[in-house]
Amino acid sequence: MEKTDNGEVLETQSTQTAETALPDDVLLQVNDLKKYFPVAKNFFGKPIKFLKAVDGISFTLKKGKTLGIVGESGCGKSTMGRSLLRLYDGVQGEILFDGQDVAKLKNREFDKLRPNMQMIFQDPYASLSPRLTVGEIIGESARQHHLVDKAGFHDYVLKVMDMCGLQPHYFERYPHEFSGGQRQRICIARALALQPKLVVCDEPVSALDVSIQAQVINMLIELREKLGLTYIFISHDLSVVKHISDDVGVMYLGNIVEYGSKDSVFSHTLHPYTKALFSAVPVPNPHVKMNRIMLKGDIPSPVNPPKGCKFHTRCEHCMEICSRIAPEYREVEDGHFCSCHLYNSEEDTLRLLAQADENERNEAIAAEKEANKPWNKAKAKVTTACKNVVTKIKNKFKKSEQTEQQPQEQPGQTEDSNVEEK
Amino acid sequence: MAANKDNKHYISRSESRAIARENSKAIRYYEQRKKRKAKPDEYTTQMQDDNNIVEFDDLHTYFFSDAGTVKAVNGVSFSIPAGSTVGVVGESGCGKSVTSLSLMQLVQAPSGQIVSGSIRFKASLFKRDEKGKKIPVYEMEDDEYGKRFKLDEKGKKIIKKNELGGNVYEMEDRVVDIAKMPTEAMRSIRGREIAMIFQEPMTSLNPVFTIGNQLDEVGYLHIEGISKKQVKAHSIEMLKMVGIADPEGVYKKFPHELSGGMRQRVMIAIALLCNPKLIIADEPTTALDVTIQAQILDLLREIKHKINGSIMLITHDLGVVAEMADYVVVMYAGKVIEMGTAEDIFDHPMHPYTIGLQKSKPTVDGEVDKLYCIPGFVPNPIDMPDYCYFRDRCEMCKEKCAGAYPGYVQVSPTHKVACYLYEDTKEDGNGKD
Repeated sequence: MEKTDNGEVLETQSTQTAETALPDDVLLQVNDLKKYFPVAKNFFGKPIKFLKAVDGISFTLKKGKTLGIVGESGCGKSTMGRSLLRLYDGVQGEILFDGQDVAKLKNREFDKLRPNMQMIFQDPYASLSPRLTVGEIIGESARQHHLVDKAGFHDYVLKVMDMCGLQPHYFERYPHEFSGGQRQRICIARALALQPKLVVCDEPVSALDVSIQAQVINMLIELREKLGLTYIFISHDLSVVKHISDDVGVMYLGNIVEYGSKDSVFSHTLHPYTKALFSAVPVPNPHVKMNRIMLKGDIPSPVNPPKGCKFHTRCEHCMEICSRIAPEYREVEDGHFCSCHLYNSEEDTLRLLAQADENERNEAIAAEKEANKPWNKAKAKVTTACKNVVTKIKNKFKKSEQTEQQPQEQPGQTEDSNVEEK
Repeated sequence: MAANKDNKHYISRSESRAIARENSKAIRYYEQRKKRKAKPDEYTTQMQDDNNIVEFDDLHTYFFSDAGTVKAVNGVSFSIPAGSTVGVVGESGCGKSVTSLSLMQLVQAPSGQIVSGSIRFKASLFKRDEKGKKIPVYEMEDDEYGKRFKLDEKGKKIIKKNELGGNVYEMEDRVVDIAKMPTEAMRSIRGREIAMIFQEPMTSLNPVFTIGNQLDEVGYLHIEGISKKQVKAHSIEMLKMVGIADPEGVYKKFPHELSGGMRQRVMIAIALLCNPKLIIADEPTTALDVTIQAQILDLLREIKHKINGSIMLITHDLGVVAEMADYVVVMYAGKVIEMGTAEDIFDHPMHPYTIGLQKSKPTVDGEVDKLYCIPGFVPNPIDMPDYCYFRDRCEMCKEKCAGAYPGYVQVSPTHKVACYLYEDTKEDGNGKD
């Protein structure tokens, strides 16, 4: 109930903000972004169960800044990046890019906006077409969006290639002739050929070797300064994220649990998950003995996430309230957001507990109502009847076994007694 | 034709035919050598240092490809002391995986072959009689006439059982040269004495068999005379040992039902099933998340203590090596360029490549404006230069570097480096001594 209320409120807000437009230095504002994948359907084809890959994310990104997103695999960071570029259908929430809501634009209109936001994919081996030459790969989209005419195509592509450290004679070559690092450069050149404002980098260096990683990261930073790009840098490698980002968001099971500037997140960590994540990174120094915060078990399935705070099953500081109601995502320090009950004031705790009580009561009432429906009543009757039959049959088998065993034992006993008598 | 001349990789038809002829000749020779029937004396050697469990000595493993011979491992020598963890670091394609596969004799045949060099391994093998059969140990009992074989109802001698329920055979300690061993003899070592944990648990577990099935298979193969029940009990015990909460449940599951971390735990359980002396962990945590990586590394460390064995840890992550390893071996383009204890390598890196590698990795603690990057690329493995392989990328290059490949310089008792930069310092050091 609560979520739908929020959604309605936000929708009314969004129409207002779209008209009033964003402040000048803000490039991207995301409000309550959600992406659910249907995993089960009922008889009539209506989805009844969802995988909540991204479950309500909000942030703002200023021009020329880099937002680093970290998290374990399966926490929805890639889904978030793809949703921002509308590579998925059915994204809920609002994505305000340059004052336009990406999520609500028509396809035609969005095509005009598309060159402004580009993506660099994770695997440079899978994301390049093996049948196109490098020049064609890089220039194809620029031609499609009429950024260059036929005459200027070659020169334009060479210019982009030069910017990304690719030699001119690669123009006629095919991707299989290149190593991983060079391929990633081609991917970057392809993204930059459209002169984008925002580039979403989805784990651009995780498939590369350490020495090549450094080259690509340095190039990304150089390009950011030269072209005034804005990055969203998704990675599971904390050290890389720390090196390249201005702001950092930590994701867990579809939510941002902590968000803030790089320095505040890394030096003054708030959320227990972030603390555990940071302590798990191995440090290349044999003298440092880490005080590890070991997380128990694996990340829970996003199809049925734990009730209350999603992290409470693995959390060290788990309290009673954690398993009952999800914490609010709020500004704990200046510009440093965190969603954890540890930072609640007493009033908040009381309010949240009251809300949890009410929610539980509502749920109980709803469950009772559901059970009282005629169809469900009949269903329950049938299931209990079936169970009774099964238990009866089981008991019968058990009895027959016992009766089989008893006659075997009895003759033995009688024999023994006979011997004793003799 | 002009385009062909420009292309360095171009091979004319006659050239390619010549390469194929050479390759088939070489492959036939090495394959026959692996298939031969050899007596154990043929491949028995002596350890140079008795504390070591494995010694690589000038190992060469080549791949005979259609484009030419790829020298994946080109003269690697290092040793693994008993009870220690040795980390092998290097970029992809530097031959670190092939080194470990050579130790298991699992290099992709027929194109990949161990060409020369030796891998000495301290193995405990079954003692064999003249016919090549294992000699069992029988149960004895004390009688009024002295010691006697215990007999069963049919009058047969009873073979002694160990605590797992397998037969006990007479064993002997023997130092074998794995590079010269025939494949047949290798089977008693592979999996039993040396076990391997592979990089991708998804591709190395069979998707059509249950976890239990795959664990039991190892038990049946290597523990002779064990019963079905005992194998299952042992498998479940191993699953419990690697920290799986519900071993009976996981025993019945298929690999796709488990998460990445759980699968890697299962792989470790399979490796531990026969109490190996040496575990080779080939990038055991590369496919895993940081938090799961921490769990698995912790588990490996714990298990090393439990089985009192050694670990050969292959990885490209310097952080993992620093945390786990006692000794570190840095490889580049098929050669060991630097080796020493973890403190040597991380506190006083000597080789320009090691220094560059450490500088190019951003750290969570430190703050750098610009990452150092090693210029250039790894040389083409088919035609390696005669001089130092790192010379073209090196910033501290000297005149001498144009000469032959540098030999090892002993910087300190535990620290060796293959670079001309330190030749003079070594002489100085000797002079002072």
